[in-house]
Amino acid sequence: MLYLVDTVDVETGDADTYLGVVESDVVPVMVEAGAAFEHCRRTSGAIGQPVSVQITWSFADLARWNTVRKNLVLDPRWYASAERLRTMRIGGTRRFYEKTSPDHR
Amino acid sequence: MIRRFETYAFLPGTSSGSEERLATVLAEAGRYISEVLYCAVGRNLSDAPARLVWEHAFESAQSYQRYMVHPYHVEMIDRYVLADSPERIVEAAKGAGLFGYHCEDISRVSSCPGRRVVLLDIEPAATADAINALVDKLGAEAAAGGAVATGAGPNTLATTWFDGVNPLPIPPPKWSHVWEAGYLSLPDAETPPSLAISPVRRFRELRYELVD
Repeated sequence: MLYLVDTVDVETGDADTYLGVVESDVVPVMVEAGAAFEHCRRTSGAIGQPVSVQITWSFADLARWNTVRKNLVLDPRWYASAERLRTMRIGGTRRFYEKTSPDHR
Repeated sequence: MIRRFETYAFLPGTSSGSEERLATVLAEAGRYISEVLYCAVGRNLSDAPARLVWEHAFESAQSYQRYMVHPYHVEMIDRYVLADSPERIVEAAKGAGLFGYHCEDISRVSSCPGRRVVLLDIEPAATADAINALVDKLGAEAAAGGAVATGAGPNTLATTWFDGVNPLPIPPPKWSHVWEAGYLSLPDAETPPSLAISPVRRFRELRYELVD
């Protein structure tokens, strides 16, 4: 199993809007494309620092991701939601993770 | 062989360091993905809306399909270019920045440090003979204008970018054909006059020198 982890920073005032777009626009498109939604987590923002949002998707392997990616590229909704989120983002990373072997747990 | 190009325009505010980082990631793709041949990067000098050009090739559709699922492609390249990536630094071109053609060999063009790549919109009614005649004429004009070698073909990659074989259910590409020429010295390259006459309805060209 592979995990796509997007970790982004947004201003505190944009956090709720950002998460709203993720929930209403991004999740349906990603799931329809073939990815599984694992979780979405955020820091509180209570100390006045930018909020960190972490969203994790999963799929069986890179071959499956290749198909998911194709479906996304062909979906106009993906571009629209991506652009909305980009305007609110002040930083972030994208990484792919895999489970560690039992020997390393 | 599959000859493939990707072009990139950068988002406003992208630092030169970030642009350089993407150029390096693309230029080094051939080191990490053995299927990526003739891998090179150039900075476009024409007025086309593209700043960076990544040119490369694949021996076959099978090697292209391996590239599509290679970790370097997924984790390093896509990180900077996929529309929804938090690290994207390029404009989301909705596929317009990917094109290419199938050919026998591209080694002679690829060995040249200067490049003119032209996207052609050829009249749909143009016959194969007319298109072949155009390609021959462009080749002769380019040679007279300093080109060492040329290559051309229908823009098959615009619709078969997923596996290099099967057309996707998308509209025909805006640019029906791709023509390219390799030069030893780009400043001396002259524009082939036949680009501006029938059966070419319009064209857009990229000019760049490969980055070391």
